[in-house]
Amino acid sequence: MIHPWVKRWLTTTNHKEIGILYIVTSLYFLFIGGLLAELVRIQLAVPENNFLQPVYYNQAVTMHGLIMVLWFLSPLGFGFANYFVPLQIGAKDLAFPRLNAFSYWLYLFSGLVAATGFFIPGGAISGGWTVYAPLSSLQYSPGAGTTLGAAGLIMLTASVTMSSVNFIVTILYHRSKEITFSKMPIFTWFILFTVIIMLFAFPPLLAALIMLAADRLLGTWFFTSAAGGAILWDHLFWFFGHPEVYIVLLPAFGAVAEIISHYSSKEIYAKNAIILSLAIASFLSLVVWGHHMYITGINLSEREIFTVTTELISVPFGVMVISYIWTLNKGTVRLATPMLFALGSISLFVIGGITGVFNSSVALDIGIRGTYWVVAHFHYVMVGATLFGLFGALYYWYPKITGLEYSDRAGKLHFITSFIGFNLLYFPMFFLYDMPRRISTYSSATGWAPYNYVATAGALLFGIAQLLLVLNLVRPFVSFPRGAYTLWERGAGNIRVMTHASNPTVNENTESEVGHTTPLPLLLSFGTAVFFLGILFGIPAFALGLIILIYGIVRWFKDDFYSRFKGPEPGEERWPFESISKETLGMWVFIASEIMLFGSVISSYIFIRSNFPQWPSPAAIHDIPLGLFNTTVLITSGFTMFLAMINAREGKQVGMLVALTSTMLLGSVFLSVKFSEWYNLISNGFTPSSGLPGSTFYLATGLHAGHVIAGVFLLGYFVFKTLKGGYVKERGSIESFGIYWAFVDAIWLVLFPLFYLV
Amino acid sequence: MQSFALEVPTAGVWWSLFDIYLVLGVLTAVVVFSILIYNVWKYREKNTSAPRDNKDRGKLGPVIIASVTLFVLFGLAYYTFGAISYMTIPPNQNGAMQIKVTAFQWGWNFTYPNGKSVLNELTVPANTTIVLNITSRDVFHSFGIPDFKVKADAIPGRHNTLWFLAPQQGTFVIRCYELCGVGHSYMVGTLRVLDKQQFQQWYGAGGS
Ligand SMILES: [Cu+2]
Ligand SMILES: [Cu+2]
Repeated sequence: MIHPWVKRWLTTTNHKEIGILYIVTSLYFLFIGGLLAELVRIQLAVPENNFLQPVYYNQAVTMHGLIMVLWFLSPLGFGFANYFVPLQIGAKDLAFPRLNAFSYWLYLFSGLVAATGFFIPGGAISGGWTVYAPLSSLQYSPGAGTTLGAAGLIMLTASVTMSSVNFIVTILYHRSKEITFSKMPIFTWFILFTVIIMLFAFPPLLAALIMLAADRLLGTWFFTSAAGGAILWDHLFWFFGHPEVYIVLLPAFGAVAEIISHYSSKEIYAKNAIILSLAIASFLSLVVWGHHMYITGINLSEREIFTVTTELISVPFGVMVISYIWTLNKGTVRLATPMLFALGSISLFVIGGITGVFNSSVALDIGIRGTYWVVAHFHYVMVGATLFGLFGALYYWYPKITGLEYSDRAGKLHFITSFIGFNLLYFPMFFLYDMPRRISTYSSATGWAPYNYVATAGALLFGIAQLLLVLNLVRPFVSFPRGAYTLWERGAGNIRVMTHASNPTVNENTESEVGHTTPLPLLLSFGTAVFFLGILFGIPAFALGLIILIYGIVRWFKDDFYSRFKGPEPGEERWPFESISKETLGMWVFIASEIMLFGSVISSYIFIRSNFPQWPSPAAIHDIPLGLFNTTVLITSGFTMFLAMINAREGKQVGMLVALTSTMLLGSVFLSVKFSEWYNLISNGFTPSSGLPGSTFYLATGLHAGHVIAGVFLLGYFVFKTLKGGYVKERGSIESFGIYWAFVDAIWLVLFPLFYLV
Repeated sequence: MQSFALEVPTAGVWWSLFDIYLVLGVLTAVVVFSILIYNVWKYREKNTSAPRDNKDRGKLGPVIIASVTLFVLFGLAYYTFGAISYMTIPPNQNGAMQIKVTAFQWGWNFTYPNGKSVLNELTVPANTTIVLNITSRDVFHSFGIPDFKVKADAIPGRHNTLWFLAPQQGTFVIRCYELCGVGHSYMVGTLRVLDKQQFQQWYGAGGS
């Protein structure tokens, strides 16, 4: 039998425990990513070094970047978000606790899948964390490592999307009575905007990854042809890539705001201006991606527009930084460990931010693009501002999470050594403004050696300094000085800095309650990982993965059928969403990400087609009358689904049953016609790999058909449950499914003319 | 910066722009750090004489910061747009020499108007506008001459141009600035600038 302690951690859905799992796992990935960074720095310490051959160096550089950004920084922030957002808004848990556990386990396994590449011939993904095309294609990166990397990222995207929906619904729907928007604590505000950016930024990455995987596994032509190719990848990747910077930074900045306020015994200065700035920065983050493409050949006016939007970002961030600093004014400033890290975060952000303005200039970019100047700049943001901020949060909240006390003196020593090590490591890189990024070696004639040598010394100091963190946080577990929050409370001062919800006594569900544990998130994530390892082990792994997934999904539905799992009740304060169900709200949020996903696929299609002069006329390929018939079938199913919703609302079980069954049948007809169409096209030689018209057609219609298939299965379940007398009182699921089905219909109404008529 | 760089038109414009950003950037950093250090020092816990008060006066401050930042950015954009037009549009189009650059794993191929084709060494005449038409045969590379502050991506299926002018003879280094596989570090070429007669001799002498 599994030890109950182990079982608890494997099956928990409690937000605090999931939060702790995120924190611990992300620190594990920090260790791996940090080791890779040290290898890179050792190789670069002296010119013409032979410590790490280019083939390994490229893997180390690539995995370092991916792990640090996606598997360390962001998840650490979300560890804190998991733990503290429900506390700050007075919620019992996240809106969908099982999905939250699912997000965590998918995140863990996604990292392991990507890292599996290290242990196979050809090694891990190695084309840089930006995975530029066409270097990432099968021709130039033949090993399975790149496919595994893409698979890991696809899993991570699924995890992130579920998290985004979960946090948005939690924050909008589960606030306790007194937490109106105006009283919502600032960390929660930062998390809210982080998840909103995540919701919009990740789907384009997912679209790009699906296309990359299809190129590598099915021989499609998205990134291997000139019509799509490098520029298409650039657009999709950077639409995600720039916002990703804010996705990792904002949770840290939210925590920094709390820390500064706490250790100066003052409310944060100009909170409303900060939140407005946050909103503006979040919006701007989605319209600046072109600054990564200044010298790819996009036209001058586009480049100038991107220069302006990018420069504008310094306005909201300038307001944030100055407001943070002005919070100290007339406060009582205590330089405890968390405060040192918070102030360190702001200081380093000032340097990272100002140098970022240099990069925003389309003219200066010509000189510094692809050089160590850029490496220095973004490490000041990603490590300086973000990691220092998150470490501040770790020290700040550690006593509250563990009930233990660390040594403040050791913490200060950790800060000072880290701060010195960090600046030794990255400041010299500003002087390497001619040295290309990601080169594994350089000649001594370049004059770059002294700067690199200092940087490596700094890297070693910075790395060793982290031992202090480990010792400081592990030691209390061994020697048990029960702190009872004293470090945390000391100097809460004469004012009520934290909201009531941060009071540790408010939410007491520290243990997983009975009926709130489930092994399914772990099982489903494991199944997904096994499925993707089919990339290495072929059909047996695919099949095994699929069996586990089907078993897990069936069990999930069984749990739902018997109502074995109860989510938390809605909060009393949920303006302006009082009148809709939690499921419906969640579905609307999810649809937003779906619109981005299909939008990316459709934009890619339009981009490719406009770059491809001899695009065949659709009439020559497709059976248009059949397509029209199928469109009619799907529209009709939209009406029957609408009837099902009306009947559900009025509690008419028979009507509902008839309408749901009709919808399911119509959906099945649509799919059958679709499959026969594909079959005929493929027999006529029009396949995904026959050219770009085939690649784009099967991607778009395949993705859509996948949504219809999922819908038909869900409808089958609804029919079954209605037959057995479910859905008499509860109607949230039917309603949210109705939205989903309407969306699937609407997408088809866009796809059909684009692929069959014009 | 270096006196040579200022004689190269593209690098000269680049460095003057960089200096404007640098001065304003350092100034901003000094102001922000001063405010930070002042407040940390003045309101430290042990300073019992400091006035304390928890009123949020956060009304005007953000507006001032936003306006000042916007004003500075407006200036920076103005200078940037001037520089970028200069660096993008080659002067003396007609007298310019057009050379095709094809990047590959891992090197550069230079093709001249007379069909002459050279590997990894770009030879050009001094005091002549050179326009490079850059593409790639395989993966994404980026062609850069750091001393001239010119750079353009080499992308399969696309042609990007850049121009430069060398005021005097000399040898300079050409590098690839985008990760392009295991040979990325070794994708180094040479720019050789000859005076006009020497160049004519070399150019007329056929391929090497
Ligand atoms: Cu960016
Ligand atoms: Cu390269």
